Amino acid sequence: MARAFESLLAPHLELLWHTAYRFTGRREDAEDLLQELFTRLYPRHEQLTAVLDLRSWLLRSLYHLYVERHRGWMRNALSRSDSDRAQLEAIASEAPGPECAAETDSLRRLLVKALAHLDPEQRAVVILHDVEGLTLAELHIRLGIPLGTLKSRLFRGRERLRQQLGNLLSGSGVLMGKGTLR
Amino acid sequence: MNCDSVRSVLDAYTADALAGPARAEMESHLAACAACRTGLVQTRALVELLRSIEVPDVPDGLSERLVRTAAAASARRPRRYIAAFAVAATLVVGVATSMLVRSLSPSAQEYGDEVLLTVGETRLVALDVASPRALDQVRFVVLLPDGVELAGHEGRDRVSWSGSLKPGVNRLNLRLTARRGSAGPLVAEIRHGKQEKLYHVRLRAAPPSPEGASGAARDPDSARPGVLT
Repeated sequence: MARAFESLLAPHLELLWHTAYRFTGRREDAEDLLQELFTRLYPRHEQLTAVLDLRSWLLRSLYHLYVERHRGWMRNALSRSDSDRAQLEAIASEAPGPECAAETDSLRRLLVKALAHLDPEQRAVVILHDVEGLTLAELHIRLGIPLGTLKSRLFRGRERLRQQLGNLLSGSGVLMGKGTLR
Repeated sequence: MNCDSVRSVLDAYTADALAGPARAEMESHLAACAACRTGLVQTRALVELLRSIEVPDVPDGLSERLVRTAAAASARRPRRYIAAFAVAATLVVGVATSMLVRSLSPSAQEYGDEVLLTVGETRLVALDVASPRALDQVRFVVLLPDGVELAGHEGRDRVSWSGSLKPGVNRLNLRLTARRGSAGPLVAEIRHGKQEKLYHVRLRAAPPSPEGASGAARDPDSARPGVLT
């Protein structure tokens, strides 16, 4: 059974890994998330073989598991994370200017930190839409979440990221080139 | 078109999915509104930055590792109840491994036997893990059977953390509480780099006996999981 289960999920492992890593931002946490997913799915192996669109089904399961695991944690973390937020703001204020060659790396690190402060639902939608390139309509179908809710989460998630990185984003020479209004 | 309506179609615009009069209206508004222009530039920059976050390749052996742990967690192998354990306030399960452990204490003989928990009571189960040398960045994962909780992590069937092992025997204290009658394995996974080892501790949770002689005494110890002494 283990071999059959592994074969069934193997074609989707890369997608699951990428998504889990982007959700969690850490290799170990991504692996933990996937481990929990696999552990929950293993006893349901027979049912999985009957799923028509397994890719979407797995993505949905991963999304719900991530949100479930992180919602409570985030609530607790946010209530005690003033120091984290202060640290984030301090890092942002100390970030190098646009002339610095390491600017994009610095921004990337800030972004990863800012992502970690998003609500898990917002973070997941931002990642699946903006990074993985799934449209809102695709997310509506794959995750079973109303379109309006997805739009709202995407907007709010981006807004919070922009608030954290806004000045740096606007002042980024690297990014301004491609971000210029056409 | 006002700022609110621009926001509502910003996504379509950035994806080049806005055409015709709507696009012309949008661009007309953008030409006159510095705030929306800034918002658009920031959104595009943000998306570009998000896409530039690198994701490491799928780790070697990940699939096999995930499936092996999942299979171990779902295993159900009922074993006889060892009465001697029932009267112990603290149960030490010795754990042998060819990877992290070279030799093992006599308590290794107890490993593999079934541990009885009493519903509603907390019991300390200690895993002794011997390491031939100091190891940092060790990953610990504990999978719990249905109806059993780890103190401090209520409601979770899986708890993980990172820590270290000192040379010799390290004791991993797990304060377990059974919420209902059940049976199943506690699976502990200890991973260091590409090395890993799984341990099974079979648990059975039963209601308290009428005379209260189950022996699964409350543990006054305040040890927390993850603290390796």
